[in-house]
Amino acid sequence: MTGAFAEIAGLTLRHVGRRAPALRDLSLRWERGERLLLLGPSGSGKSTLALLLDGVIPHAVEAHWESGTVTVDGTDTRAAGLASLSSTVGVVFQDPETQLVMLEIDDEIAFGLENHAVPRAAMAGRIAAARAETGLDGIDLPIARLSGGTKQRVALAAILALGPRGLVLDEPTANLDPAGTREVLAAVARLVGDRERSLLLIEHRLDDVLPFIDRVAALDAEGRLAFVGTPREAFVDEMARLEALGVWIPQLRRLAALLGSDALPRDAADAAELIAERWPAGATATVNTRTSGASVVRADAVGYRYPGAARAALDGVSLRVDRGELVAIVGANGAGKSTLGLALAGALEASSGSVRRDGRVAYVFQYPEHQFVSRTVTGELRVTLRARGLDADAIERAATDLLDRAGLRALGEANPFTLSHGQKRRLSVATALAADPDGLILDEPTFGQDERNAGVLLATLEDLRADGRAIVTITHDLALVADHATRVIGLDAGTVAFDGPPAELFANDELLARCSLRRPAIAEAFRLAHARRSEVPSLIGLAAVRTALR
Amino acid sequence: MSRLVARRDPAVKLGVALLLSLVLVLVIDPVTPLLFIAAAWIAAVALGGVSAGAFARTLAPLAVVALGFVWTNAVFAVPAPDDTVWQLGPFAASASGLRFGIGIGLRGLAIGAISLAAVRTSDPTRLVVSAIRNARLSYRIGYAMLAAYRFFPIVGEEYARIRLAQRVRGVRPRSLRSRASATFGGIVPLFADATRRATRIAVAMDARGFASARERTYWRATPVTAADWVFALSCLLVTAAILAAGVAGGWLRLWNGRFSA
Repeated sequence: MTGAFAEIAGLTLRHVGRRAPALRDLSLRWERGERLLLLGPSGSGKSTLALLLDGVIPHAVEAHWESGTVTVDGTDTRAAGLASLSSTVGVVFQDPETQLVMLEIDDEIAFGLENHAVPRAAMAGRIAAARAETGLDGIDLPIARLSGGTKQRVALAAILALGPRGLVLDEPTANLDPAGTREVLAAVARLVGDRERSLLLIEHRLDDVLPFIDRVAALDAEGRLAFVGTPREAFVDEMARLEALGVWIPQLRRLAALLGSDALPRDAADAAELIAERWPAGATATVNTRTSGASVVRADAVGYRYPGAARAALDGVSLRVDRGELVAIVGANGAGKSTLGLALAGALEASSGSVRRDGRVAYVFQYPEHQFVSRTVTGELRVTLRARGLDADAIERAATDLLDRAGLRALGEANPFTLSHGQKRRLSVATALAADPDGLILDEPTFGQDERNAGVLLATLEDLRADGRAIVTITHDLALVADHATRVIGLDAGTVAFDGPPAELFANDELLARCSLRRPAIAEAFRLAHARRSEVPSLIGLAAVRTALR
Repeated sequence: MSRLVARRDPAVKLGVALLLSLVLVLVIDPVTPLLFIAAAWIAAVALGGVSAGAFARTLAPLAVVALGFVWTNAVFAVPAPDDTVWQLGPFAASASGLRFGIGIGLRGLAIGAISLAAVRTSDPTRLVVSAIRNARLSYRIGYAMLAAYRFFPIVGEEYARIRLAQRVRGVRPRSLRSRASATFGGIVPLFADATRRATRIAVAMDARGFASARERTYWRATPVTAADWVFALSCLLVTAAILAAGVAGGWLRLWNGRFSA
């Protein structure tokens, strides 16, 4: 680890068509062989930094380069060509669907080699090596039929074939289910274990990456460097500063803090030791699973098949959701979670069976933009309020109130498409609430949100639940399930594999595997601690820990 | 046997299809195109491994267009006196117009069937790479086509999802006008979405050196072999046989420059 692999000095960069710079006076060293974690709230310029390091900015995407330099492997990126930069630093992006170009795995891996005019005779060896490094040996399905996690490993293999000395991974697990996330992060950990390559990782699921991270850098919302230091400095000494930035904090670190420790547990086993040592005798949290008994939605043997699909997306699904419940629907990508949500909301007509709704049920889609039908933020709310049959005065009063509650008052006349991630999500929830629903169904509500935005949203959902409404959330975020769900439904290939309390699901290895899930870090730590010291309760999330320690 | 045509070089198949299409442009009788459709069917289904159902489904939209041809020509061709076959309200179909319409309708269908046989019997990647290397297609266009091939089903799903999202919001069009505006309302987010996806994929391609490539090499070997030339020659022989049969049987008619027959 001698000398910088990349060095950014005094960089200010503005995207074309934007008034505010994406990055401001940024100086950051990325050492050779170093595994650097980059954090920042949404919109802080993390992805911009990823594109700068492999030369896409400025060589393929233009930007106003206002000051400073970016040096990679000893050369100024503005002076070097994209050809050499793109083989020095490889980038894996968030969405597998928009970074894979070809239809077959070998063609995909060869694509970069072809662009760099590698002779055909040398390709077979490099393709085989890249496959071996990412665990893709023997997989020969068309790319369209691979799972999300495997697709991301193909993306990884495709850049490894170019022999890069630096890897930049820009939220590589954001679109994956829990099993896919583990699959990809395990592959990454293997790749950078020997420090032959430098790694810059942008990632939210910190508990999985902490074991192989050397240093942490954080950007603030304005694109300035707000922090740089060791993981310990970041999450122990300066935790309050990072929290103030709105970035994610490792769950295991939060656990240690609750136990009054200044340790930074590397993994669940580490944390288990801490729990076994420090857990106060008798502290426990009883989970309240009592419900009102009045259902809002009831599904009876619901089946659904998309036109032209080979197999049913839903097959004999029966469930009910009562007032005062927050039910999480979990399962692999493609298990039928969204279809079930849509059928419960009445947006899709079940092919067989029946859905009964007692009251109004509103639906919030994963991508808020899809639901926007108006040119202004207030207009979005008016559409729903008008559909409720309110008079003009009542509509304006309700709209103002909803804007206030969503923190969007100042943006009433803005175009919904110009809002930030967090604002769009708040608006889409506000429009659903404008219908004054008895039940609210949300598809991946925390997707792409930073910790602060996610926290605000979850607090809103808790309030609505306490207010006697029924909340259903489709999610891959098992920490959310552990902390907020009163009940969890696990889907497997269109059927209900589990319907019960989250603690019961997280205790069952066979079920977790069947639904492409994995035990959240906190639940795993308590399970291990319970095995060592039986009086430690098997808690599953931080919310329960807080209750127990109160 | 059933993969015989599928193994042939895609660029050669496309070349043959283009050549046969040029021949068919001159044909206006209904029997010759029918024979070409039969030949294309045999090449795709019996010798190319394409399922009969799949081939028929891709041909179906073309059949609708062909029927349109028949209708316009039957009704709107300059009528000769006493040539009316039937009358429906203000529409009168002439016999000569009808014959001409059926002829060119089937001709269009035949050209479609031959092109589809060439495309559907080819692996899409091999088709594009062979077109780049053997038929001088620009690789920028070729790879854009491959990306589009991956993209179209996604855009369709996306549009369905957006319409669903807007219906859930209570946008339930009743009148024709509100239906049109709802369709348009779905297109705005779809465009925003498609633009974002296209930008991302372009960035991902550039990040792997696509933009900076001066000369490219290719992983897929796409040599045109003797078997491919034998295949091309066989196609020409079949074509000659169909035309000869038309001459012998007296049904072959070539276009004489007039819009009736």
